[in-house]
Amino acid sequence: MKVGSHAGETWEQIFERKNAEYKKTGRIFWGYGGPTLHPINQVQPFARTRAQSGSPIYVLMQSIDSRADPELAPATEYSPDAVNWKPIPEGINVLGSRYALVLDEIHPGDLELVLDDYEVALGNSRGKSAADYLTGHIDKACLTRSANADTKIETPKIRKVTFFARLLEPYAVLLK
Amino acid sequence: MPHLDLRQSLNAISDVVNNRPRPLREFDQIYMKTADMLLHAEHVGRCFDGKHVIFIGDGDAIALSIIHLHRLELLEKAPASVHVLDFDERVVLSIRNFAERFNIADVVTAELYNVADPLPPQHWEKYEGFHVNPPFGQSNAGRSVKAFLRRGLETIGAEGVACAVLANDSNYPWTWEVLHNAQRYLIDERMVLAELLPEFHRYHLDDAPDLRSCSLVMRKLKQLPHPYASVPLENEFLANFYGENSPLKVRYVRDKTNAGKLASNDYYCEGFA
Repeated sequence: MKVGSHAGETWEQIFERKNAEYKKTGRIFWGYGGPTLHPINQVQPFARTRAQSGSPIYVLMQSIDSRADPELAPATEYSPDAVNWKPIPEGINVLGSRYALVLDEIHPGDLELVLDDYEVALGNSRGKSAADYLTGHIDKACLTRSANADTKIETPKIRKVTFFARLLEPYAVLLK
Repeated sequence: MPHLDLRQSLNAISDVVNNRPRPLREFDQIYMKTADMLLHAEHVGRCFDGKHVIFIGDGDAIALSIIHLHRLELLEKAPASVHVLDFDERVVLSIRNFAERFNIADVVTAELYNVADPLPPQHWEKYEGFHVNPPFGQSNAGRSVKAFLRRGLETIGAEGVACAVLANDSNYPWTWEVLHNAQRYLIDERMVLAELLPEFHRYHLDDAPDLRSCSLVMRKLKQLPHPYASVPLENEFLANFYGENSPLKVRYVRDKTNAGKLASNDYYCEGFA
């Protein structure tokens, strides 16, 4: 997932604010939008399946030079299932997003992810190489390591990961 | 294919498209591309010519499209009547409003219904054809497809015709598995293959924009009427309805705007400073 400045805050300010929220509330609501990675039919099913096997789920972030600077109202309610809605917990501030990932603390990282070693974990494109899937307008995906990872590729597609966090239950929610 | 007046037909389809509610991705409401809607409407009109037909789910508004184009004399063949069942009240109300506005309410009706529930008794074996376009069933070996087909089969009598829109794409091997399961299920239910239009439609589908679907048409062999026996869907159908670990939980989507008659909260206005 690409991250950067948003709604009048620099990435550094967002990073500080979000980790302060984690210290206060024990979790972070990481707002996002876009047509892919729907909380209910993509993130939650993926995370539940992984959690059943005892595997942690990491959210890998690539910081970019973003100029997104709209004035946005904070979300006031969240729902894991589109039926039951609760107020956004005190101490959490999530701006201008339809969805949010639920994370633990965000850490700086320095990883070069070889996209060719991963594949789409679920949905209509399940099994498709991440290198082929993460193109054009698609910049987010639920990925697993593919069975033929580490195969030598002449020109591998690499994505630099600069921050990461772990997903916490309920993994992803709708906002309003 | 018979002659189609492309401009007039696409403009008529545009009336229908403009009337539809926003699709909800969490329920796999993914709209068909408009030109493919037109071709599908023409094809379905021929399959169901003169018949009384029920649509089990119709977010795309194919039923409306066929009747609307037929009344405008843009399609030669069409069902005698269409009844739409859908779990989304926005879809149901938008169909009723359109039917009234374009004077086709005599042959177009719609009703709120979720396939998880038993079929309402008044629809049991009452129709000559059914149409479904279910969630593609990639993660559940086609169980969501089977759920819709099962309800469809409950609605038709002897020699009834089924038309199912199912994922079908050479670049996505899982689609063959689901199509095979659907055909096997229908054959076991005494249906025979009448027509298959492979890789026929495309969708506004974010995670697989090139994925295509087919139109599978099957015809029921002669049968004696059965007494009403519709039951709720079993848990195995519900658990992975929208995909792996993505169960069916929502019975109805309710329309807070009464099909656009009440205020929307989607926007606000800002005056000059």
